[in-house]
Amino acid sequence: MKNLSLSSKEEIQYKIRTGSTIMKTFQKHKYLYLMLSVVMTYYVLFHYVPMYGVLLAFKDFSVFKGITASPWAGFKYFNEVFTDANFWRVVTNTVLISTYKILFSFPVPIILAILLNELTSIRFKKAVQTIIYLPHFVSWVVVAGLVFSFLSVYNGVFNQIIVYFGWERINFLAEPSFFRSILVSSDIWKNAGWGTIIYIAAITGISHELYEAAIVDGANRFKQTLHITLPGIMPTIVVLFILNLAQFLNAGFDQVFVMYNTAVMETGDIIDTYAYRKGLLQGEYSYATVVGLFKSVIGLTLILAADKFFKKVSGYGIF
Amino acid sequence: MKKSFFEPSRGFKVFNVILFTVFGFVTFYPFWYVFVGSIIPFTELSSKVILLYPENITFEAYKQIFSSSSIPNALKINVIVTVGGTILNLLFTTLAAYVFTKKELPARNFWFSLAIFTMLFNSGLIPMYVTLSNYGLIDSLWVYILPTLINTYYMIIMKTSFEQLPKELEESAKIDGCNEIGILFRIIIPISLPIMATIGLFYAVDRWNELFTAIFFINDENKVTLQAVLYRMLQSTDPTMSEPTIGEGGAAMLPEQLKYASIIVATLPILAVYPFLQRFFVKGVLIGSVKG
Repeated sequence: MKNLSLSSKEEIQYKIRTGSTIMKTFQKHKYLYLMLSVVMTYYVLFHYVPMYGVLLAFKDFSVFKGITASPWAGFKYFNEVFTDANFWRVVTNTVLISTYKILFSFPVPIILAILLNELTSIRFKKAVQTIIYLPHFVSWVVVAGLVFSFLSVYNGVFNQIIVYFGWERINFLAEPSFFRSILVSSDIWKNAGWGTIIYIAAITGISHELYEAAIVDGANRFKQTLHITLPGIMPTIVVLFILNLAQFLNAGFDQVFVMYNTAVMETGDIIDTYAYRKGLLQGEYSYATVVGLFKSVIGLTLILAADKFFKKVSGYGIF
Repeated sequence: MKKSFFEPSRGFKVFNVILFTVFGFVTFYPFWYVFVGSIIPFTELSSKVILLYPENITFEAYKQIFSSSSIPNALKINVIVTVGGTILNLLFTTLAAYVFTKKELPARNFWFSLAIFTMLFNSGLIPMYVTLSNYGLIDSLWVYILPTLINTYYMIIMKTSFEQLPKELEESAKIDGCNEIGILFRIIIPISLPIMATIGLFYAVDRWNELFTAIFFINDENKVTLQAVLYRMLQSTDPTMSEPTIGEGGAAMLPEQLKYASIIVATLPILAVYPFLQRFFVKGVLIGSVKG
C-alpha cells in the first residue's frame, strides 16, 4: 500500500513535470502558435471546407437542404458527364489548346532570354525589358479589348489594312479555325516577356569560369549557348515546365473566358468555361462539380507524375 | 586567333537589335493605338488605318464614361479592393511565410504541406460558390479579399527570402526579450522591404485586375470591379459583327471610343506605378527564384 502510493505519487509528479514541459513549450511558442492558427484558419476556411463541397458530385444537391442533408446520388452524375459528347469535346479542346501553348508559347521566353543576354547595349536592354514586362501587368480583359480592336471585322486594324489592299474582310474572331491561334499568339504577347525574367536570373547565375573554359576549348558563341547556357538553365526549365503542366487543364481559363464567343464554341470551349456555364448559369451544380473534380484529379495526377518522371530522368523536380 | 571569334558576330548583333526593336514595338503599339484612339475625334478614328500620334485631341470619350455611373463607381470599388486587399494580403502572407520558416514550430512540415496541397488540388467553382454563399460572402465586398488572402505561391517566394536573412539578427532580438510577433514586425519586415514591395505589387496588380470574383460571386451592379464593367462593355459590342451595332452618325462614336477610354482607365494606374517598382520586383523575383 505504501509502496503503491509512493509509485502513484511519483507518477503524478512525473505527469505534472511532463505536463508542465508541454505547457512550457506552448508558453515559449505561444505567439508562434497564435500566428500559425491564424494562417491555418484561412487555409481551412477557404481551401479545405470547399474541398468538402466536392461531395456535391455524389449528391442530388438542393440549395435548401445544403450539402450534408442533400440525398446521395452515387455515381449518377459521373455517368451523365462521362457519356456526354459535349464534355469530351471540351476536354479535347482543353488538351489541344494547352498542347499548342506548351509547343509554341513555352519555348519563347527561353529563346528571348538567351538573346536578351546577348544584347551589348545596357540601356537598350533595360528599355526592352521595361516594355516587354509590361503586358504581364494588365488584365486579360484589357488584352481582349486590344485583340478585338485589332481583329474586329468592321474597324479592326488588320481588316482596315486588308480593305486598303482591296481584299475581302476576314472575320477573325468568328472563325473557329483561327481561335486557337489567336489564343496562343495573344498568350505569347502577354506572357513571353515577363517569362524571360526568371531565365535571365538563371543565366546570370551560371559561373563565368565555364564560359572561359569553353573559350579556351575554342567554342564560339553559339556552341557556348548550346553546351553551357542551356544545360545551366535546364533545372529552371524543368521546374517551370512542371509548373506549366500543373496548369495544363486550365488552358488559360481567364484568357478563354474573356475572348471566346458563341461562334467559336466548337474549338474554343474548355473545361472551365463549360463548368461555369453548366453550374452557375444553368444551375446544374452536381454536374458542374463532377466536371471540376475530374479536372482537379487529372491535374494533380499530371503534376505528380511529371515531377516523378523528371526527377528520374534529369534529377530535378519541385517536391 | 582574332578575338571576334568569341564575340557575337556583327550580323547577329544587328539582327538581335532589330528583333527586339520589333518585339518591343509589337508589345507597345497596341497600348499606344488604344490611347491615341481614345483621344482623337471619331471621324479621324474611322478614317485612319494606322494611328501614330493624335493630331486633334478631344476628351469627349472620357467625359462620357465619367458622367455615367458604372465606371466611377467601379473605380471606387477597385480602389477599396486594391488598397484594403493588398494591405491584408501582405499582412497575412508575411505572417504565413514567417511562421513556416520557424524550425522550432512543431510539425512544421505537416502544416506547410497542407498549405502546398492547396496549390495542387482545388475544389472547383461550384463547391467554392456554395461555401462562400454559406459564409454569406456573396455580394459582399469581403469576397474580393478573404478567399484570396494568401497566395501560396507568393508566400513561398517570401519564405525563401526570409530564410536567407542572417539568423543572428533574430537571436539577438530574442535575447533582448522580443517575442516572435515583435521580431517579425521590428526586424524581419524592415529589412525585407524589396521583397515586400515586390509581393505587394503582385497583389496590387491581382486585386486591381479582379474580374472573376465580380462575375462569379457578385450580383450587385454597384459592387463590380472595373474589369467586370469593361468585360460587359466588350461583350455588348460584339467584335464579330460585320457592321457597327449602333447606326451610323454621331452615336456610332460611342462604343468603340468608350471602350478605348475604359481600357485606358483600367490600365493607367498600373502603368503609372510599374516603372517605379520595376527595380524592386526584378530583385525580388531573383531572390525568390534561387530555389523556387
